Parts: sequence; structure tokens; C-alpha cells
Amino acid sequence: MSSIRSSFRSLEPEQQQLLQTKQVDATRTASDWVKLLAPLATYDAQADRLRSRLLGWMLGIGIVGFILAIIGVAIAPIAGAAIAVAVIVALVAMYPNYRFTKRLDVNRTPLEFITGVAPILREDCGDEGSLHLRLDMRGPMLKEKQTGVSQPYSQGRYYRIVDTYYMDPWCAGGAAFVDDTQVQWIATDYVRSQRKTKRNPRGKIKTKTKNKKRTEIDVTVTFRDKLYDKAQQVAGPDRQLRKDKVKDDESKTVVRVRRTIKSPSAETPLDPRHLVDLIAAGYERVRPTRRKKLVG
Amino acid sequence: MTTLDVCACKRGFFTLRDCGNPATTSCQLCTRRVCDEHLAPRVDTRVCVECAAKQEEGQQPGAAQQPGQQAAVTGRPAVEDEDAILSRDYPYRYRRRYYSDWGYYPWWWGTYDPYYNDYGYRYFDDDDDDDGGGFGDS
Repeated sequence: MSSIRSSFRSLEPEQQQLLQTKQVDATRTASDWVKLLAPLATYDAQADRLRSRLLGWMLGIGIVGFILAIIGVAIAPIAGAAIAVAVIVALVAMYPNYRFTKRLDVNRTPLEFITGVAPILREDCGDEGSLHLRLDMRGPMLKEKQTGVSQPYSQGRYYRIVDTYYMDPWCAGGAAFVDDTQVQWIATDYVRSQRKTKRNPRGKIKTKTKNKKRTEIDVTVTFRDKLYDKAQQVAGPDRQLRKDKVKDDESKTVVRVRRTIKSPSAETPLDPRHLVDLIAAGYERVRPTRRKKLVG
Repeated sequence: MTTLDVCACKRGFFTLRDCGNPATTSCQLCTRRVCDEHLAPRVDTRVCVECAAKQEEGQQPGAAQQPGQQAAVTGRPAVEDEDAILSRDYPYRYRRRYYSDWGYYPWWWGTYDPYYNDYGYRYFDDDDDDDGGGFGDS
């Protein structure tokens, strides 16, 4: 248990602060972003595992201890009291670590997404090219991200269902490529949390909550007319785009594309390939206007 | 005639361009001259990142024919493995698999090299060009 605290102390001060604030809005090189965020993902995975174990132990000790204390009191009051005290001491000893990991828990989806896509973008940004990122690692199910609550309704055996909707723009970024192309994107999660209540055949009231997530990634790719122009036809396969707009200006061609990804739960991570697909879709909607050699 | 000894590998993902770094060694598989940045992390052999990516693709013959498989096909390292993510060869493995599995043809902004003929890249095609190619000095 002390290893999680030493793992936290081994992080850089900026990384420790990130775990506390859970948000970042900065411009760095792609390599620097990976160096900053990859250790956070490692720490968070370790903390999640420990917290699950602690919760299991605390519940187990609490339940078993309660039963033993009842039996002990029935047999010998002093023994029962001693068991109860021991249970309380054990829970008090474990709770600070549980609370420590809970307080510093972050949503790992942005970390995994960016560490997957940053090395790819580095190839077109150049080693010194900057990548601007705005990440929100607090997760979608926060009061401030709530966009609406439905009126209670019934469906089938569930006599009361309430839907709560959340919107979470967890990743926005921008990069400038060496061919003078500008790429901007924003990934937004739309979560529906459904709380269902029913009465089972034995008359007990049962409640469960199910979460469904829809992620929208919007990408805008701006091509300078010096090198690219709008293509007559799309040179690529169907990229399953929800939106596909190309605007040809005097000095630039702007491609706006969107993809929607449905997930069965709010915790499902997002494959970085979706962002790569959308930027690729942008390049498939233009054609070069001249011959040129780019180096470095 | 003086020729510059520059790295033959191509940088980029959505577009491909010349590396431009001075070459320091030769790849033992393709014999092209490459720089230190484009040497795959291997022990006792000198293999460029492109050949390393080809080798890995060849070791999984089914992968290229099964588009849609995600992490297994792209060989993305675990997010906790910072060294693997930052290693020079990862983007090149990803690039090779992405091109073949997801049907992307990059724009070519570099010097012609027959090594990349199997990439299926696109280039500026000037109808007035007598040599019929798309390669040469701008």
C-alpha cells in the first residue's frame, strides 16, 4: 500500500499537479506530451488496481467482522467487543489509502488516446513541431457536465426510469504539419446514464444504473492553396463519416469531417485510429497543386 | 560528381517526405543508407525502421488481410510503456499496417525511391511533364 504513495512521489511535480487538477491546456512537442502523460497512465492503472483490492478487503472485513462481532457478543461480550474494535481499526487503517487513490483518480481515456496518437502526429509535425492539447481527465459524470434529466417514465418491468445526460469535451487539440497543413480536432463524449427501478417477484425493490456513451470526433483540416486544392473526387474508401464538408476559399481549402462512435459503456476507451482516419479523410479530399520536395 | 549521403527513409504519415539527415550506416536488409534516427532498436544487426516494419508484418501474415482488427493489427504498445511509444520504429510499424489495412495512400513529397513502390502513394501528376513521373526536383 505504501508503494502507491511512493509511486506518486516519484512523479514529476507537474505530473502530481495534473493528477490533482485533472485538466491541462498547453502546447508542447509530441514527444514531451508522451513523456508527461504516459507515467500518469501507469500510475493511474496501479492506483485503480489497489483501490479495487482495498474496497474488496474493506467490504470483506466489514461484513465478516460484523458477523463475528455479533456471534462474539452472544457468546462472550468482551470477545465481541474486541472483534468489533479490531474491525474498526483495520478499516481506519485502510481507508486513508483508499481515499488517497480515489482523490487522485483520473479518467484514463484521454491519456491512452493521446499517447497513442501523439507519436503518429509527430511524424508530420516534425520533431520540434508543437502540439496544442486541452485535456479533461475528470470523467463525464459530473454535475457541471450534466446537460439534462428526463422526467421519470416506465418501460416493461421497470416502473421508474430516469435518464441523465452528460456532455464531456475531453480532448481538443491542434497541430501544424510541415506541409503547412493545420489540423484541429475535438472529441466529445455524450453519455446517457439510465437509472432503472423495478420490483422483483418477491416484492423487493431493485435499482440499477446503465451508462451508454456516444463519442463524436470533429476534425478540421486546413490546406494552403500553395500546395493543395480541392480534389474532383474523394481518393479513398468510405471512412464512415457523419459529416463531410469541403470549402474551397481563395487561399485555403478547409475540410470538416466528423465520426460518431457508439460505446456500450462510459468506460470504453477510444481507439486513436479514429482520429487518424479522420485526418486521412481530409487528405483524401484534396490534391496537390504543384510538385515540391519537403525535407526534414 | 558529388552526391550527398543522406538518409533514404521517408518521414511522415499522411504525407511522405525525405528525411534529410546525414546517413551514418547501411541497412543490412535493403542496403539503403540510413541515419541513426531511422535505425530500428535491434541488437547486433543494423536494420532500418522500414525493413523492421516489413519484417513484423511478414511475421503476422493474417493481419494484413483482416482489416478492422485494432490493437492487434497496429501493434500499438501498452500506454504504460513510454519507451516503446517513443521508440522510433513504432510510427513506422503503425504506418505500414495502417496503409495496408485501412486503404490510405499518402501524398508523396520526396525523392523517388523504388523501395516504396508497394506503398501505393499519390503524387502531383503534371500532364505536361515529359518524363511521365511525379518525381524530381521542384
